[in-house]
Amino acid sequence: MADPLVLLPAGATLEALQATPDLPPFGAPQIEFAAALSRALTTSTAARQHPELMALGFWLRPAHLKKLIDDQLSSSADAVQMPRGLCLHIAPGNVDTIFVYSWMLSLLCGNRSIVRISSRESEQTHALLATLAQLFEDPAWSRIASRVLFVRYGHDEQITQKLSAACDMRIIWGGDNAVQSIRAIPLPPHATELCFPDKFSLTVLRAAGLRSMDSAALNALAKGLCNDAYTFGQMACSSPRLLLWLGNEADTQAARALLWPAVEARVPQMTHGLSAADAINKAVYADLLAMDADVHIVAGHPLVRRVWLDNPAVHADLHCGGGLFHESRIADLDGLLPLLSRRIQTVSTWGFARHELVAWARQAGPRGIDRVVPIGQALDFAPVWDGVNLWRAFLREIDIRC
Amino acid sequence: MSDESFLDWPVYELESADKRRRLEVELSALTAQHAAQCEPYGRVLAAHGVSPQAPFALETLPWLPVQLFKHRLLSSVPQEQVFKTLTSSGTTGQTPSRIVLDKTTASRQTTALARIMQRFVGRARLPMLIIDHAGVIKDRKSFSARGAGILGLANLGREHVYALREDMSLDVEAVQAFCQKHAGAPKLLFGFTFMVWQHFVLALEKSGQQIDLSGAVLIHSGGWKKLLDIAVDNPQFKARVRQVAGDVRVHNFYGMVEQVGSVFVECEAGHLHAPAFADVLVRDPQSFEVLPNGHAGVVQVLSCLPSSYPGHSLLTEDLGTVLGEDDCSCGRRGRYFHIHGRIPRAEVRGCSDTQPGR
Repeated sequence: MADPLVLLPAGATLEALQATPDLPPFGAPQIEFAAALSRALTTSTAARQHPELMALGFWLRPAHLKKLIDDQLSSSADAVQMPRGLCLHIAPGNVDTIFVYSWMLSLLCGNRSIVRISSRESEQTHALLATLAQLFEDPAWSRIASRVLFVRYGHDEQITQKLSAACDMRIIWGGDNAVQSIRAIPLPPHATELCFPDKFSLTVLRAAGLRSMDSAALNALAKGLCNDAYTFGQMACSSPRLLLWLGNEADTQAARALLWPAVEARVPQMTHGLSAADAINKAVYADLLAMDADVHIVAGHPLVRRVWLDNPAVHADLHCGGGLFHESRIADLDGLLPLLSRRIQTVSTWGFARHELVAWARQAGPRGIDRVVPIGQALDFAPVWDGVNLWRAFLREIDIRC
Repeated sequence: MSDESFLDWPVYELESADKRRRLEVELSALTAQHAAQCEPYGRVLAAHGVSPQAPFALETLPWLPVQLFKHRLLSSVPQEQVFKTLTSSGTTGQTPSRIVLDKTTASRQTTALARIMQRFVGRARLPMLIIDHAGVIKDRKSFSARGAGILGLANLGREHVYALREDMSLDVEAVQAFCQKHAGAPKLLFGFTFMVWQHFVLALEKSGQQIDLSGAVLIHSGGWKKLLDIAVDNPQFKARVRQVAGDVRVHNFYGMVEQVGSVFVECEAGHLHAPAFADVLVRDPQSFEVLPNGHAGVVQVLSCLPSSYPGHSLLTEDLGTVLGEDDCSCGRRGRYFHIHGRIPRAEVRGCSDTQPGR
C-alpha cells in the first residue's frame, strides 16, 4: 500500500506514532512547547513577513493560552477528562495556519496527531514547517515530536483509508466536496469526526454611526475590514464577502461614500497577493451575478470590486473572493433572517452593542451564524469554531458517579 | 446583402482612421442588437450602467470576459435558428465554452476565414494535408473547436489527406503518397500547433524518414503553452518543420472558439495581424484601462462576425502587446501584436482544494 510523504519529524513513522502513549490533558510539555512555538514565530524573520503567522504566534503566547485553558478548565472543574487518542487532521488549502491551530488544540488536550498538509505550496506553510522542523531538532521537544506526523499526499483514497483506520478522531477542514468524499472513507467504530465544510461570512455596519466618525476612526475601521477580507485573499471561510448596511437610504449612501475610499486607500498598502487572474475572476463573477439578480456593478478601485444588490441576498456560488464585495442594505437586524442558513459562519459587525446582538439572537432565533465578532477580528481563531467547542471535542470524559 | 459588407472590406489595406470609423459603426450596432436579443447580455450592460444604444469608440465598447461562455449559454437567436453549437476542447476538468451559431454567423465565419487565408495561400484551392485524424470531424452538429478549426480550413483546400491515424500515429505512407502526387506544386498543410510538433515533426524525426513538402504553406494554431513548457519557441518550431519537410512556409494564427473566422495570422515578419473586420486592444490586467502600444496586458478581441451570440467584444485570458499599427515591415495595415501566453492562473485558495479532483 502507498504511504504518504512524511514532512516532519524526520524518520517518524505511523507505527511508532501508534505505539506512543498520549500525554495528560493540558500537561506541562505541551504548554511549554506552545510557548516555544510562539516565541519562534514571533521572532522569526520568515514568519514576520506574514501577519497571519504573527497572529498565530500571538495566539499561542502563554498569557493568552492560559486564559483560554483556564476558561475551559473552570467550566469542567470536576470532570475526569482524557485525550481521545490519535487524531487525523485534514488541513484546508485556503488558510495556511489552520493546521497548526487544529493540531495545537488537540495536542494541548494530550492527543497524538497525523496532520495532512494541503498540497498547495505557499510561503506561509513553508515558513511554519521550517519553524517546526527547527524546534523538533531540539531534544527538549522529543515528547512532542514523537506524538505527531506531518504528511503530504495527493488525491489518494488508499492513504486516507489507512490513516483513517488508525485514528480515534478525524477532523476535516475543507470544501463540501472534500468533506463528503473523505467522510465516505470508514473510521474505526469508536472514532468520532468533526467537519468544517464551506461557509459564507458577512459583515453588518450601522450606517448612521459611520457618518459622524472622525477620519482616524474611519481609517481604523477600514483597516480592520481590509485585514478581515484581504489577509487570505478573501478565501477564508470567515472572510466577509457580503457587506450589509443597516439603516435608511440616506445614511447608507453617505456612509458608503466615506467607507469605500478609506478601504481603497488601505488595500494597496497590504500584501494582498492578488493577481491579474483574480481581477478577471471578479469581472466574470460580477457579470454572472448580473445575469441572475438585479445588481449594479460599481466602477471603483480594481482591487476592491463592488456589486450592489438591489435585494439583499447571499449569492455564495456567484462569489470568487479575491476582493469582491456584494453590498446591500437592510432596515434592521431582522433583515438578516431571510439570508441565514447553516452555511453562514461569521457576522462581523460595526456599530452594535453586545447586549443588543445577544437580545436579537435570543428573540429572533437565527437559523445560521456561528459567531459574531467586531470588524477586524473575523479571522481570529477561537476554540469554539463553527459552533463546536474544540476543547471538549478533543477530550473524552470518564463519568464517575460513585 | 448590405449587412455583410464588412466581409468585402480589403483585409489588410484599410488605413487606421478609416478602419476605426467602420468598426465603431459595426460593433456599436452589434452591441445594441445583442442587448436587445440576448437577455443576460442586456442585464450585464445594465448592471454596468451602460446604455446599449450609445455609439461606442473601440476603447469604450463594453466587453465580456471570455470565460462567461464556459458558465452560460449566451444566445441572441431563437432556438429554432441555432444551426450548430461549438464547444472548446478545453483541458481536462475544465468546463468547455459553448458558442451558438446561426446560419448567418456560420457563413460569415467561413467567408472571413477564406478572405484572410487567401492572402497567405492564394485564391486557388490547394491540395491539402491535414495533420490530424479524420475522426475529429465526425459529428457535424456539435463540433469541438478542433473539428471546427479543421473544417473551416478544409474549405480552402482540395483532395484532403489526413496525416494521422485514429491513435494519433503518423501515417507515413499516406504522407509520402501526398508528397509524391503533388511534388513541386503548391500545397496547404494545416494542424494544431502542439499536434504538428508532437505527431508530425517529432514522429518524422524519430522515424528517420525525410519527406519533401517544398512549396507548401503550413498554417497552424492552438496555443504555445505546451511547447513553451518544453522550451520550443516559434523560430525553433519553424526550423524543425523545415528540417523534416523541406522548404515550407509556416504561418501561425491566433484565434479562439469564441471568435471563429476573424483570426489573426502571423506575417512574414513574425507579427500577428488584425484583419479589417476585427481588432485587438490591450488592457491593464488590474484596472482594465486600455494600454498604449508597446505595453503588455490582457488582450481584448473585437470582431464584426458574431451576430448569434454576444461575442463581438471579448476580454481574453491571454497576455499580449500591440506592437504597432499600419506600419509593419510586411506591408499589411492594421494593428499587429504579439501574444505572450496565458495569464498565470492564481491558484484557487478555495476550502475545496483539500482534495484535488472530485
